[in-house]
Amino acid sequence: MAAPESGDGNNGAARMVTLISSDNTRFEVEAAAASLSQTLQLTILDGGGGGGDGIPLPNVDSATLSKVLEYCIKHAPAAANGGAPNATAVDRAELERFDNEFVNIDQSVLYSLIMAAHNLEIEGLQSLVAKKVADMIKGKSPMEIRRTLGFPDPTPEEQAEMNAHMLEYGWAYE
Amino acid sequence: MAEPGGRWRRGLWIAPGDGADHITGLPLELRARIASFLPFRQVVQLSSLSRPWRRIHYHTPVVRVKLSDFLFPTGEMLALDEEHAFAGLEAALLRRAEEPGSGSSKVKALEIRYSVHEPLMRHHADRIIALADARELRIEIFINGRRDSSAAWALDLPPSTRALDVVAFGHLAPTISGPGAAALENLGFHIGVVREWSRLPSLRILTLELVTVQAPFPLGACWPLLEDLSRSWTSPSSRRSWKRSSSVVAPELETLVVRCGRGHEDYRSFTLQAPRLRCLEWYNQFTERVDIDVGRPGSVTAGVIELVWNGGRDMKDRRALMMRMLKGLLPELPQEQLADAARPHITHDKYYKVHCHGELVLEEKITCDLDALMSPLQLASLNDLQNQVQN
Repeated sequence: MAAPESGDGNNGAARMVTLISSDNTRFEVEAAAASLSQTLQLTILDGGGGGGDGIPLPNVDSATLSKVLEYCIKHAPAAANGGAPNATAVDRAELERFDNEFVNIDQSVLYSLIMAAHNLEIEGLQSLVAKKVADMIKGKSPMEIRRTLGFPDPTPEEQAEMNAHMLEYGWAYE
Repeated sequence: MAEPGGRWRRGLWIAPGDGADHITGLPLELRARIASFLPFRQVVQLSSLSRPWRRIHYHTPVVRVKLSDFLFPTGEMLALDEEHAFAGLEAALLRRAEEPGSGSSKVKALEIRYSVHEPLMRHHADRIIALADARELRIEIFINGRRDSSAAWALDLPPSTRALDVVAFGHLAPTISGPGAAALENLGFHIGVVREWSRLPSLRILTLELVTVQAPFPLGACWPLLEDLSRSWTSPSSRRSWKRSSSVVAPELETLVVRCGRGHEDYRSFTLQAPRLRCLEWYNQFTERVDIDVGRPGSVTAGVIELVWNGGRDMKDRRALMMRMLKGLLPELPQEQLADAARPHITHDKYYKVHCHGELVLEEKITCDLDALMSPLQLASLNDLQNQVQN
């Protein structure tokens, strides 16, 4: 079954849009991939981003944007399929492999990605990154989480507060 | 509120590349979203991390509690300690419910795992469900030792609940009541037994997955608004193979999905009366008699009929069932014309499949693509065909 033509039916040639990162780098990408972002989808439907104009994204730097677009391009075909009910097990396994590798990155990049996914309203990417951070801390004690997330060592006051918390919420620690 | 090591530039937080904590700098909403993947107990622990985390457990859209975790490793309930733990959990949820400006503190989804046959645990589960008053409720039944899986149990839905999923692992489905029962729109019941149906006047979507249905399917009066019904059956674990009739009468039903796994029971007869049905998906349920009334001929325009078998029955039975169903969808078309019209859209596959003991078994499958058969173009030409026959 052929996927329905998205957008203006340009005889097969996919419609391209230009995105401009906060540090003025231009990214040309298929409208279908950029449309994974709810925010961009609205602009694109209004006819924005084509020609020489480009859509400025003042909150996303080029390193983050290229990472975001890597995700969008990989996920666009499945998204166009409406959550891909027809996708084969192989396709789904491949996407899962991609996702696992995609979030195997430094915490500072995770942070930039989660902000960008939030600002651009890319639902799948938000969940993927949030889940990755959750997996990093799951089952760890607060002290271990502080270390995992790179908190500075607790001050004596903070340590006292943590101890008090443990007494007050004993049921959550057992 | 800049963290040490980073800097703000034109409203953009430049993350430091020094392995320092970046997550605390995220808005509360995003941290709550991360915490939503964790058990609620750990979310409460997170509130001890530092000041920006203090109220995190009031804001996670999803609350996950496994009451089974409150058991001691021996699996025994030690009343005093349990009571203390449950009281703490309930107090936290109560304070959350009383949080002013309850927009983001409202629980969107509650996932709770408990044993319905431990009176103490069920009592607390009921309280937690009421306190969370979640829009979506997902219950997983926890089996503690050998319990009677056929004991009836009730579930009181809080007023905000619109969607309920119960994974019963062989237990009975609950009888549903409470303030939320009248407003429930979406019900899913998985891996269990249904002995009676609850009256749910707002129900629109019903999903039954690997469910043994022992009660006659209720009439439209029970679920007058039902639009979407998915069913998949399993046979009871005992070899009690009584044949049943099934009938679906639903005035608002638009989508019906019937899916059967391996080892399912065949139906003696299947009756469907759904004047607004548009989509029918039928996988693998064999029935000797089928009686389909969908109002107008050709009003079902989407879906699929797929029959898979090995050995047992021959091709002829399957083809005959397929044609009986198509006849129900297009009752006015003479048998021969129907067969001609359907032929291009019915495919027959033969393939080997590896079964559980590693043996290769030849399977056969016939599939009819209803989208293609019923597409408007096809219908037009069918009508022509009909006219020719009549003239």
